[in-house]
Amino acid sequence: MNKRYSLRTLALLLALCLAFPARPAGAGDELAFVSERALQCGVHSETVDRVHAAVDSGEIDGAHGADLLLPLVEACGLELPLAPFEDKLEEGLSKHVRPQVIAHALQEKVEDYVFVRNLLPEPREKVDILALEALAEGVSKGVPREDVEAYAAEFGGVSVQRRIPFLVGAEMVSLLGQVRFDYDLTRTMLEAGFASDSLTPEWNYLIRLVLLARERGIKDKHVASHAVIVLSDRGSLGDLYARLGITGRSLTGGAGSD
Amino acid sequence: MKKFIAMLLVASVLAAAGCAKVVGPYYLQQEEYKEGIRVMGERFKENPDDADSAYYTGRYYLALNEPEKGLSYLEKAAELAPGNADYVFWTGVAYWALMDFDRERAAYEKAVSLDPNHISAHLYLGHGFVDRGQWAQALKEYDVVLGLDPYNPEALYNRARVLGELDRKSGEIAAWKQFLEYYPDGSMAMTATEQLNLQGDFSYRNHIIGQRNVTLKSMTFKPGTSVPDADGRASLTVLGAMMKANRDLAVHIVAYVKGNAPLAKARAAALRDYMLNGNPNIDRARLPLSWFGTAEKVEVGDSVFALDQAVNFITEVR
Repeated sequence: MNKRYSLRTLALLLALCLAFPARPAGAGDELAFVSERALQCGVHSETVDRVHAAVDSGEIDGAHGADLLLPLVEACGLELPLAPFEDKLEEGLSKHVRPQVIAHALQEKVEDYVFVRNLLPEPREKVDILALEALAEGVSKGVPREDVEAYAAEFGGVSVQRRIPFLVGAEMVSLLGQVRFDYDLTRTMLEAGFASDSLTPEWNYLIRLVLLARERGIKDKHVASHAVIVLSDRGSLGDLYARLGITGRSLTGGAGSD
Repeated sequence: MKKFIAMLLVASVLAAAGCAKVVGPYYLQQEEYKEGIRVMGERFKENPDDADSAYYTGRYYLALNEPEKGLSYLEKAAELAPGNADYVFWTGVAYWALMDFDRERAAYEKAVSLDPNHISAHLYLGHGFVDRGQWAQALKEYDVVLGLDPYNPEALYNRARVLGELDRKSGEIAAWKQFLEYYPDGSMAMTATEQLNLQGDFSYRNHIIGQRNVTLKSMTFKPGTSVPDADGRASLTVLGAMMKANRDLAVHIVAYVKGNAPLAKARAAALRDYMLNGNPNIDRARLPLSWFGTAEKVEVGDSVFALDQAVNFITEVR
């Protein structure tokens, strides 16, 4: 946790603490209070209603309901995108995960998002939400923080002028990192892609090729070296499939193997 | 921006009116998958019997690289509209993404049984056979695809590859040439050219021109003369365009005619003249010449081929 995040979190908690004595005690009141804060801050009413429904059905108690919404209020106060938190909360409740576990996961997610946002180029209001989401979701799913740091440090400078390639690169770092694809190999592909301006959105689907290649016994290093050739030549993901002798499928309905 | 807002407004109105068939493709085309999930997913919640809403929600999830979520919606769509080949086909794609290849194939087979002319289902059935090494079955599927869509690049490319695997050499060479005739650029063209060259056919060759790898149709001439054939002249046009775009680029024209050095020299000069005539702004010094009265020796893989008559282009970066 970095210094800036600590200060913001403390400020938010202080604001909440100062507000608490002015309201009556009790789990129901706590939920009502946090719900109100959440709605005021921009959390979707469907999400708040979902928590209330879980409380009303007896699935969780009121205090836990408040605990679930608190990280969303915090994310909101920190000006983070709320959809990933709302989705996580919804997913946890749908799968009947214990509320303490959901709340903990949400709190960790807040920390992951703040960590990534602080790596992306300033100013904060201009941070690309999609790049933030891609990298932060990666971190929350196990991508080493140092990989994300390395990506932002080396390629973050291009993010303003070349939004799409930076976003595609972020997806690659996130998805490949989750399957423990060595970042040094990812880096070689990114370098070739940025140099040739060939990181088009279809490369978001490189992860499928990597998984298939592994199943066929093709080493990650081999995949990366061919990807560098294809990217340097401004080729497509379909070209890479062809070079490796694997057939691809399009997940979007477009031509080729995107 | 105004146009985008107007389109979004139209999409929202159509969504409100319930036109899933119109709105669904919109979010796919605009690559607004998350927004699509919000709109169509909500619509599906409100109308759990609406196959179209389920289908498009599944497609959006798939496009977002979330095949597990996508599959559940696509299966629902296929269940609600069991006669729709597209819905079934897309469950197959989701199964592929989840690496469940048996179910993938079953889905395509079902899609084809519902619509025997479903090009994508035949194509991916072919791909599945390739992945299993079932070459004859793959060839059959690709032939069906090309019967329905003669320019399908994936079918053309993989058909050539399959013919090679089946050891049908002449068919393989013809198939690679057919692919290259329609798709002479890019990385797949380079791979196709490598395969063609490995068979001893050099009607196309890969060249490194400046920073780029380029596939070019090989130069041929009227027999015994230095008059280039029409086919090869297209390659000179490509080279001319590259030299115009990169003023530091010089291309060394190297001609070979076994036993006839004067003819080799004449051919090299003829090619330079042709390029200069078409590109008067290119300095003559950027097109140096060499000629040899011997065959050109070309290494491909582990083999060395001797080409009695050939022209090579070698980059000089200044």
